[in-house]
Amino acid sequence: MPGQPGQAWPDPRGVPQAGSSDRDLLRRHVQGDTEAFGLLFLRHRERLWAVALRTLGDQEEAADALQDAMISAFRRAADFRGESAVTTWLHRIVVNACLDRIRRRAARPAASGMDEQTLDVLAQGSALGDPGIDKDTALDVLAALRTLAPDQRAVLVLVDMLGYPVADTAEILGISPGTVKSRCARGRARLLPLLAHLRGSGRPEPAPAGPAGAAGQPASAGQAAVRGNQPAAPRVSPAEGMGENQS
Amino acid sequence: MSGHVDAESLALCAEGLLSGRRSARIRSHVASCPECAAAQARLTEVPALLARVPPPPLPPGIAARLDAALSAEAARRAAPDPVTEQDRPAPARRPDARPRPAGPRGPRLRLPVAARVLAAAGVVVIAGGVSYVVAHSSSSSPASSGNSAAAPAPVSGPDRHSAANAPGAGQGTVSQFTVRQSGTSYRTGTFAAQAAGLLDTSSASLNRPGKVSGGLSRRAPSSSLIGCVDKVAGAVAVRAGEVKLVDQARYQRRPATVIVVQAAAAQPGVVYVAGPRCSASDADILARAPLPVAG
Repeated sequence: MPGQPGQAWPDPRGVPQAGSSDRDLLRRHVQGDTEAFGLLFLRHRERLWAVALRTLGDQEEAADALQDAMISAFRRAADFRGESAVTTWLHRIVVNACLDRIRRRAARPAASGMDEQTLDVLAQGSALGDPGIDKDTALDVLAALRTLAPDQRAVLVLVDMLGYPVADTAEILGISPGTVKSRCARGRARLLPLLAHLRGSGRPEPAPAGPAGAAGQPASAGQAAVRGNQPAAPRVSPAEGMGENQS
Repeated sequence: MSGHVDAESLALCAEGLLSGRRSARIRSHVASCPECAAAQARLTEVPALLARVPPPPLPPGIAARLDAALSAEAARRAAPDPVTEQDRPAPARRPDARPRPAGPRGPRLRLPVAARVLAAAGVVVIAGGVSYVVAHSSSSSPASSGNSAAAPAPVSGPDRHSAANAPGAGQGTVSQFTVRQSGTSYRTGTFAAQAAGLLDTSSASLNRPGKVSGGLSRRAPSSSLIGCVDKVAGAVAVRAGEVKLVDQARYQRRPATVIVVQAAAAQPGVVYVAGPRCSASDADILARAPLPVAG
């Protein structure tokens, strides 16, 4: 089940794990228990938040999507058929809410850029766990991720970023494992030129002079794909004061 | 095209998604081509790099907002109100109960959900003049319209209708919010505290009905404002009476609407600053912060 990805998830505070399985809680909710859904959601909301925020790249939108999804799950609990894990079902509702939002946003002119503050918020947590990544690197990765098509982004967020197994991701997204893998592969290939400068120390560096044939020769097609695009990290200049979400 | 392998083929090959012949060709090329070998190595670093970005913690303000929305939804389920927004068509409204279109752009009759819910729930929005949202269908007489800004009329009589009409006096049955124009100039670092101060003022004036603070004027909410509040706070929160303040004022010297959402006194509230474009489709949030606890 997708509950146990490789990352160390913060334990939802004070959640009574008390024997009740997710399924029990959902069943109790359908039967009218007023507490059950809250407990269920509390168990999973940290990672659902991570999925929503990383997929949407915008805190406001992620909060809206997660709230919509939560209410939708609350109301549609009786529709849960039990073919999949409850967590998978919850993830599916959240991811769909996110993709819906992206589609609606795409229908509007000029999706909003992120300001520095939003990026800071997105990258927060860098200080928490992994000493191996600095804030700038995290920001660059997140900015690069935003350039991907939503379907590719959703897959990379789940599989590569948050560590969900391919099979679970396929179930969450309602696609085949093969499609998950090919979207992953294509997404990684697209990110490659955007992240090439981050390997090693994480300091932005121009592509190093390659040992073979770099001097004076026109770049080959392969090289152009890798090096032609220098860091595209689409930073938006900080807006005045608290960041503004311009459209 | 030279003989090099493009990044996508390398990535698909690594996932085992290419035919046996094609991947054999790629492998043998990579084995003899330092450039492609380097590209392949960098490709394997991409998922590693993504995995190193830690998951973001759920901000407390958003956690509070989710809690509030969930408890409102649970309350709704426990005592379903007469209208559920998805299941019923917009109720028939008397023409005079229809909010005026927001701007001079001509009729914009498709009301946001919140407006429909409000209308169905007996909330009357009177077109023209100064009017306000009330919480009782039985008090639909427009007697209290007019320039009652300095001393809102309903507080003059201490009967129950007046109490229902008083600003912020959610009686638990019907949602409402009252729109103010406090004239406050909100600022970046202090807007949450400013909003909290305004809330204190208005609740104090509620406790002493005779002395309503003169700085607060109540205005007819336009349908676009209702849509905005709906968008920012969520229809659920609006119906649950969790919208504690809607103040059309200024932020950073520009027009803005400050909205405070709080599920219960014991729960943390959230102060939102919405920009001039705020509507049912776009919250246009300029800033937000937790509501400081009154101390």
